[in-house]
Amino acid sequence: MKRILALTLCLTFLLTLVGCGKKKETLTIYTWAGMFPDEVIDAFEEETGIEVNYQNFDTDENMLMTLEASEGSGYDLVIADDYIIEQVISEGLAQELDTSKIANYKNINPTFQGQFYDPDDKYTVPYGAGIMQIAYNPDKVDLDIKGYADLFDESLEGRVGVVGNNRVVTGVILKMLGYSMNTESEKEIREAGKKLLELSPNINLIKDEYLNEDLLAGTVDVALVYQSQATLTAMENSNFKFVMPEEGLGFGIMGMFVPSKAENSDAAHQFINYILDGKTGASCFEWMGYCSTNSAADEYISDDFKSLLTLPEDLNTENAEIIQNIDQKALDVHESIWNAFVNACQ
Amino acid sequence: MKKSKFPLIYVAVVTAILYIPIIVAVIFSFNDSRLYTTWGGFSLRWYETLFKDEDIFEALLNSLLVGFTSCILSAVIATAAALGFRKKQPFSGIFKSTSMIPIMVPEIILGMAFLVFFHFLNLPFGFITLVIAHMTFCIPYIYLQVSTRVASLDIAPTEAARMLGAGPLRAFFTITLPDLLPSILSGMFIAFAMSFDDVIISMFVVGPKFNTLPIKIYTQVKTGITPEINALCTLMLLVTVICLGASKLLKGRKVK
Amino acid sequence: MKSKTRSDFKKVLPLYIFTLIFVLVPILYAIFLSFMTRTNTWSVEYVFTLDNYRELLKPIYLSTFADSFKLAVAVTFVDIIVGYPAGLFMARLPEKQRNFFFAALTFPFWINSIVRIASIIVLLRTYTTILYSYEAVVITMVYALLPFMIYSVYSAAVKLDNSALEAARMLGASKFRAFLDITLPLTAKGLLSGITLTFIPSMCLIYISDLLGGGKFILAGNLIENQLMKTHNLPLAAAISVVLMIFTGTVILISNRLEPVAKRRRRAR
Repeated sequence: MKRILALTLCLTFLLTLVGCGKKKETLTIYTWAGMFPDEVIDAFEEETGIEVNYQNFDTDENMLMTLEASEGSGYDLVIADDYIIEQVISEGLAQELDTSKIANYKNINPTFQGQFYDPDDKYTVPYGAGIMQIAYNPDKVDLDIKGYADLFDESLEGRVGVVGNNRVVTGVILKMLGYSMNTESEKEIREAGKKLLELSPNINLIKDEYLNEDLLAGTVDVALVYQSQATLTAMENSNFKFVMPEEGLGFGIMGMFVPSKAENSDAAHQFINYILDGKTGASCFEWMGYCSTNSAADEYISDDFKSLLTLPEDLNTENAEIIQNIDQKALDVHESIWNAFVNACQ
Repeated sequence: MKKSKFPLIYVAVVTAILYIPIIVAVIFSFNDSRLYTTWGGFSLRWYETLFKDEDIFEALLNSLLVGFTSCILSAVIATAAALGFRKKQPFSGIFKSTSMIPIMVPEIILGMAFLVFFHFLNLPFGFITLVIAHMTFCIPYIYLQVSTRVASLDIAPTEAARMLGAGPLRAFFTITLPDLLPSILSGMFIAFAMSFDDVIISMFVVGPKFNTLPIKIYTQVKTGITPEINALCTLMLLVTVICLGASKLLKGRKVK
Repeated sequence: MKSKTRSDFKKVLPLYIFTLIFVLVPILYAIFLSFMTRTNTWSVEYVFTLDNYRELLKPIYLSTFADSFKLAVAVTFVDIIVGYPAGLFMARLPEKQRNFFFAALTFPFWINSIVRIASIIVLLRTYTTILYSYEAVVITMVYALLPFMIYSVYSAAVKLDNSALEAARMLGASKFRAFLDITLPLTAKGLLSGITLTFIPSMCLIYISDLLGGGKFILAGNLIENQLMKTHNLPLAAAISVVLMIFTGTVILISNRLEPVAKRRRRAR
C-alpha cells in the first residue's frame, strides 16, 4: 500500500511539473528564427495578455513535415514560403481566414495578393517578400558583377557561397539558360544540372541561414543570398555591393496562415491584425529586412531603408518568377542533379 | 633505468589541445563584440542577454527534467534487471543484447526509428517521446555499471537478513541498495551526461512546444550568433566545478 | 525455491517489456518500412517493394557512402596515431598523474559538445582558411572522438603487467620488438574498441559535417536526415538506416573476431 502511495505521489509530482505553465492563454507561432523584433512581440503580449510561444523551424520542408505529422495541430500561426503554403493548403492543413476579424486587412499591398499558392486569398496574408540577389565585396572581387553568369568566373574559384535551397539555386541557373524556374521538362532541368556542375569549383559554401555572417567574416567573397541576408550584410558593412541579376529575378513571398487544427485561432487572427498595422508592420520589415507587403507600412519605413525594402518600381513581372510546386518526377530530377552538384563541390 | 619525461609531456599536450575550444568559449563569453572575429573589449553584456532569454532557460529546465526523469526511471529498471539476472532467466541472451543496441548503433538510426515509430503510434512529440528515447540509452549505461557490481556482490548478508525475518523489501533497502548505490549513482551520472548532451536522437523526437537545451544551442550556432551560448556554458562550467569541488571536500571530510 | 525464481523474473520483466516495445519493435518497424512504397507526402503505402534498396545502388548514393567511409577511415587513422600513444603513455604515468589526466579528459564532456564545436568554428575562421573544407570536418571529428580512443587504449593498457615487458627488455628484446610482441597484443582489445567507437560515429555525426563542411560534405548520416527532413522519403531513409545498421554490426563483429586472434597469436609465440 505504501508503495502505491509513494508511486502516486511521485507521479502527481511529475505531472504537475510537466503540466505547470499551461494555464495562460498562449499563441504558438511557428516560423524561422528572427522574424519579429522582440518589442513587437512584447507589445502584443502586453496589449492582449496572450503569451506568445515562438517556435522555429530550419526549412519549409521541415515545417511541412511537422504539420503533416501533427495533422495541423500544435501551432496557431505559421509563417512560411509561398510554394510550401500551396502544398499545405492542398493537403488541407490550413484553415480559411475570417477577414471580419482582421480590421487591417485592407492594408495589404494588392501586388502580393492573388498569387498562385492562394489565388482567392482565402487562407493567407503576405508577410514580407524577397528577391534573390548577388552580394559581393568589391574590395576583394575585381569583377563588376551583373548577373548569375559572373558567378562562373574563374577568378572566383572557392570563393562563392550559395543558399541551401536546391530549387532556388537550380532555378537561378534555369533562368540564366532562359527557361522557367518551374519547368517540368527533364531535359531542361538536366541541362541546368550540367551548367550547375560547372559552377562547383567556385563554391565554398552551401548554407541556407545567415550567409551574411560568412560574407562579413570573409569566408566567402561573393554569395547568392536571400533579401534578408543582403539587408543584414548592408547593415553591418556599407561597402558591400548588391546586384539584382540581369538574367531575371527569383522572387518570393512569405505568408501567414492558421493551421487547420490550431488550438487558438482567435489569437492568431488578433496577431495577424496587429502585424498588419502600418507602424508595427514597418518596424517588422525594417527589422527582418524584407520588402514590405503592407501599403500602410510603406510610409513608416525610414528613408535609409526605403529603397531596399520596397520593390523596384520598374519591376518587370515577366522577368520575375516565384518558385512553385512541380510534379514529383521533376522534383526527383532536381534532387539527383543537386546531389551531383554537392558531391562535385567537395 | 632513467625515466623519460616524454610520456608526461605528450599526454599533457594532447589534453591541453582538447581544452583549447573550451578556453576560447569562456574568453569569448566576455567579448563585447558580437562578431567573434574581433575582440571588442571585456563586457558582461552576453550574461545580461542570457538572463533575459526565457527560451534558453525553458530549454535548460526541459533538459534537466528529461535528464532526471529518464535517469531515475532507467535506474529502477536497470538495477532490478541486474539483480534479476543473477539467476538464469528465459530469453536473457536476446534481451541482454537487445537492450545494448541503443549504445552500439549510431544515434541517427535510433532517431529515425523513433521518429517513424512514434509517428505510427500517434504519440505526441515532446516530453514523453524524449524520455522514452533517452531511457533507451540510459538503461544500458546504468545496467553496465550496476551489473559489474552485482557480480561481485556477496549475497550472504541478504540471505542472513531474510532468514532473520526481514521482508524482501527491507532486506533490499538496508543491505543490497547501500551496497549498489555507488555503482547506480555513477551509472546515472554517465547516463545524465549523455542525455543532457544528446543532439541527434533528440532532434528527431522533440515536439513543437518542447525544446531541449542542446537542440536550442544547435539552432543558435547554425545562425552564427553564439556569445550568449558561450556565457551559458561558462556558467555551467562554473556550476560543474563547484559541484565536483564540493563532493571532493565532503569525501575528504568523511575519511578524516 | 520456485517462487524465488519467479520473483527474480519479476525483476527483469520491466527491462524485457521496455526493450521489447521501445527498442526491438521500433527497429523492426524501421526495417519493415524499408520494404514499403513511398507516397508523395510523408505517409507510406504498405505495398512490398525492393525499390528503396535499388535506389541506393545508384551511383550518387554509392559515391556518397564511399566518401563517408573514406572520411571515417581518415578520422579513425588520425585518432589512432594521436590517441593510441596517449592512452599507452597515460597508463604508464604514476598513479596520481594518471588519475589527474583521466579526470581532465572526462571534464570536457560536461561542456555541451555543440558549444565546443562552435569554438572550433571560431578558431578555424579566425586563424586559418580551412573552414568549410574536408580538413575542417576531419579535424573537428578527430577532436570530438579522440577522448574515446584514449580511454579505450588507456583502460586496456592500465591492466598491462609491466613485469613481462621488463623481462623481455632484459632478455635483450629491442624496444620495438617488445612493443610488437607484448604491448600491442595486450592492448589490442582497447585499440579495437577505440576504433569501433571512433569509426562508426564518424559516419554519423551529422552536426559536424553540417556546421563545418559548408553543406558540401554529406555523411551516411546526413543522407538519412535529408531523406527524412527534406525529401520526406521515409522508406528510403529506413533503407539507408538498415544498410548502416548492417555495416555497424559487421564492424563490431569483425572487431570482436579479431580480438581472440590477437590473443591467440600472443599465446602461440
